[in-house]
Amino acid sequence: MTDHRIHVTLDEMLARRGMTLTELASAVDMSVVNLSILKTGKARAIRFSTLTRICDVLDCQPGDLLALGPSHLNR
Amino acid sequence: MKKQTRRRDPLGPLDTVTNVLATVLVVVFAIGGVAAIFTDGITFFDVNGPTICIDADGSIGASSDLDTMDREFFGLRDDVTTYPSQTTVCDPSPTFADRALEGLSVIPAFAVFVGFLVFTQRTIRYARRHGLFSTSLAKRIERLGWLLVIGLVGAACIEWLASGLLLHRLVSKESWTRGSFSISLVGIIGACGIISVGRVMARAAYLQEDADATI
Repeated sequence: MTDHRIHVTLDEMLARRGMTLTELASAVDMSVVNLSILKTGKARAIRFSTLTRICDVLDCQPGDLLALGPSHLNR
Repeated sequence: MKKQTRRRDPLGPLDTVTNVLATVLVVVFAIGGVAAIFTDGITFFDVNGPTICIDADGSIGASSDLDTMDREFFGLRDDVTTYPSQTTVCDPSPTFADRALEGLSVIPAFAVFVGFLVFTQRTIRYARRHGLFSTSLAKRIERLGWLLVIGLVGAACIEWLASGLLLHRLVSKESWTRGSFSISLVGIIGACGIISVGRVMARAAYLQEDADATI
């Protein structure tokens, strides 16, 4: 059970740029495993350096990759 | 160019020491046990010998001071007084109960030491299989510390009781409570240290999980 409501929308960004996860991993010099952890929402935190590299490659803003999910109170 | 630092095995020193001690124990037991069984006159661990002996209070036996000739021989100053050291009482034909009590007055602390060695080796193997930072390893380490504390205290109590009962059997006027009580304070402090390390490792495990899940 996570203690946050942040979703990483990496899937959508990759689709928009027509890139695969493997290509992104190679471009940002990270392992596919780690990017997969990010993509599937299993990551607990992301370093600013990682966010910078991903945004540079995907030509986007950090806000394009991160979204806040609905709270249980607002359902 | 950054010099690559050699990563030392954090479990290396403990692993080495426990392996060496375990090997030495096995060899000593093998040689000593075989010699005691097959050679007359050799006892192993001072148990199962022809006689059993136990230290008694110095009030038994010897007089409290030397005579004049002895004082001159040893060159004792006039105002110096002598007191007898502990008297040892021995039974040349012990019963099974006497032998059992003699064993219980010696072996428990050694058993705790061997048990601690075995559990430490098992904990090291577990750490190598499951990683250094896991809550399960932290619990094992804390449990090891508690086992050591309970073992040391328990062994000291058993040895005190056994030596007291044996002394009472050989010297009826001595109470069974007059056994020898000794406990390793360094061991107790060390065991408490192991318990604390286990608790710190439990916190570190959560930190490691966070670090592992940080991309």
